[in-house]
Amino acid sequence: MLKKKTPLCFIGFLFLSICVSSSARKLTEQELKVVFLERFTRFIDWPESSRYSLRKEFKIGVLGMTSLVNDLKKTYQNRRIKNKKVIIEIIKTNSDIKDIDILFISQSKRNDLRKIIAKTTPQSILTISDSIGFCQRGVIINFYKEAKRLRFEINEAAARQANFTISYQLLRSAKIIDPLRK
Amino acid sequence: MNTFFANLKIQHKLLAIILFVSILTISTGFGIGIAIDIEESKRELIENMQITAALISEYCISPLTFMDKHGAEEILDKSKTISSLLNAHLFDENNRIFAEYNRFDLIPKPPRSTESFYFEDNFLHVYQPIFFNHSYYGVLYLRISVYPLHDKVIQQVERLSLILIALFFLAYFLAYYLQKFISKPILSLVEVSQKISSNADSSQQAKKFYEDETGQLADAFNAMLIQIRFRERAFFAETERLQVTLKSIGDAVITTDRLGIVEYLNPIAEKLTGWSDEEAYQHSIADVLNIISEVTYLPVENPVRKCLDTGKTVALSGHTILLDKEGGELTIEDSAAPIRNKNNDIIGAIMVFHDVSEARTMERELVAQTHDLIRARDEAEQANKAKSDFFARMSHELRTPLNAIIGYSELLQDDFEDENRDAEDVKRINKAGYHLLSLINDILDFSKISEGKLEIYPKKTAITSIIDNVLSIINPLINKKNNTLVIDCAENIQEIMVDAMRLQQILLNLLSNANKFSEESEIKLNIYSYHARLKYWINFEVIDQGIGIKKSHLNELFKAFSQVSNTSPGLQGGTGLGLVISKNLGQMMGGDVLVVSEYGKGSCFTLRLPMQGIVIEQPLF
Repeated sequence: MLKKKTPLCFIGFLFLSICVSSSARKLTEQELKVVFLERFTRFIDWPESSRYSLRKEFKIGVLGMTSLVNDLKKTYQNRRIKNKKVIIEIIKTNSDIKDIDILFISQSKRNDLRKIIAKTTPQSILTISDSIGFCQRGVIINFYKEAKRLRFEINEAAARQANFTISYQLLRSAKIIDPLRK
Repeated sequence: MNTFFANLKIQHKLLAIILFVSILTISTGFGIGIAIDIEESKRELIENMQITAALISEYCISPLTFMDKHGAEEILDKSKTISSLLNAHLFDENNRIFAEYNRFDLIPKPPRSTESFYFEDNFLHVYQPIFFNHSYYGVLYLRISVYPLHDKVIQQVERLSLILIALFFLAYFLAYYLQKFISKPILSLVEVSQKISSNADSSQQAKKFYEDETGQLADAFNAMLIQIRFRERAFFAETERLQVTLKSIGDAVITTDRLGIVEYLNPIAEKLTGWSDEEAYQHSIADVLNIISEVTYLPVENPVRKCLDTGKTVALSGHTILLDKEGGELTIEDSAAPIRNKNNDIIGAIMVFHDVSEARTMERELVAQTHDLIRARDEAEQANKAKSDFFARMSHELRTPLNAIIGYSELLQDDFEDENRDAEDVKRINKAGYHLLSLINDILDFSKISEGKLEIYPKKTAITSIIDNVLSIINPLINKKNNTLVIDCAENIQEIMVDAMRLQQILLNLLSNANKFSEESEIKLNIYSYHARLKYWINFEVIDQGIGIKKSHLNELFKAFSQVSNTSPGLQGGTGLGLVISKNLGQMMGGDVLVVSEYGKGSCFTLRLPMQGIVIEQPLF
């Protein structure tokens, strides 16, 4: 039975693979980061005390100069995060850091980092960056490149301080900075 | 095969059955055990592999999420520690191959999106879809070799086979030992029955081993043997008795079976046919009994054959000649009858015959003798008749002139008396004439009696008139000799049915005889009746006290022309026919005349008559 079906399956498989490969072009590093953003949220639970649970929308804030904003807007125009409509906010000053779920911190805010983190941690805002050394300085997730591959590192202590629960699935793929168990 | 098994010895049969059953059950048990084991192992393998797949897919979630192909390959590569895992393919959410591990080359096939597994071509195929928080990430496909499982099963089978062989031998020894409980009594029974049948020795006894059915069988067998012995004895006794009986029969006896084959000859049959019993045994009856017709000298149908064919008794009563073994001829009288069993089926025939050759000769001689005798008798009768005729005619012819003599002598006597002349001579002539007349009458009577012409005319007559008539005649004679006559007549006798004339004749004869041989003595006439031989009789007894009769003469007394008085010629008178006539007359009247006498003392003559039609006025008793 199965052997008889093999040619049909094979033809179907060929057709499918052509379709898929044609639709899935290779993503750029920028686009990859945008996609990963959503994927991080799958493995992270926001604490119940945060404002996250009170909102109907999922708010992503972008602090500092970065080209990521356009991609974010484009990508999440029609996509939802944690089954919520996504709103992208551009944060201009540190004092505007409030009522958001994720804060992307650009490299330009290197010097302000201490203050920013002091603000995000009590509000349980997930901080993400793509700058070398940011994670060591308290950002929860930081993208970096290794052998041409986009990878990310997680500051487990910082996540804990902000009352985040991070799934081991996420931790497994990441390089852990400041782990809880040393 | 079936007849082969059916014809096996009971010992081997039992052994085969026990072994077959035990091996069948043990191997079935082992088979089921192995089957269960295989199923169990498969289930275990499936479970293990599902767990493995689930674990691996857990690890694959984050590489899939973050497109970490390298990481995924690292994870799959770690699964090579599972020796039976041949291939592991990871597909992403679009079912495109994401990472793979191949111990043996395998082109990835499009995966199944539902959790499933199946066995195919000695491989276990497991599909594990990968979900996290209800999101679909892809599929993990594992191909696992089941050879280790096979090896395990084969190993198991080998081990169990060894155990099975060991158990077979154990079962064989146990069965060999245990089957004796059943086979031993039966074999012993068989042995005994064989001994009995081969030696015909029924004194054997079946040995009883146990109190089970075989024991009952042995008991029943022994009881049967006793029965057989008992019947055997009875049968032998019966057979012997029959043999003895057949031997003792005065006729020749031959028995045959249903087909006419000789089974037995008794000694007389042996003698007549010239065949011995042993010789004749199993020969056809036609060989042993060679018979031809007495008249035509042609072979006749064997009566045995005929009775076997018809089922009826056949007798050829003496028109047959038997040719014996040496060719001698014998006239025989034979008969044959079928022998039938209880169901009336013919099981053989019995033939009985005897030699009638001698009888035949004697018969012929006898016939000749008889012829002679008849002729002699006829001649004698004729002579006698001629004599009687002669006497009758003579007497008749004599009486006519005698009557003239008597008549004229009486006339002469009258004339002489009228003229007062001495008539003594004339009286003598007259007396002699009367005497001659009585003699002639006697002879006439005698000849009538001997010719059977004398007839009796019974008539009712008073006894007194008879006595009166007799007295009127006899009284002068009695007086003449100075005798006295005493008559004693029973009072109950009044009238009798009798030929009075003949009765008077007898009485006169008896009384005159008594008177003739007595002088100056008493003569008695007693008349009385009595009952004997279912009849009433009347006796007339004449008793005298005369000279009597010698015993040697008593037999001659009633024969014609003999006279006892030969011895005393002086006293005699008459023809000597008187007593003969009296006796004959008495017999013709249904009675008889009998005599009792003692020489020198007297005689008693008795006339006995049946009281037919006697009228009796008073009851007799």
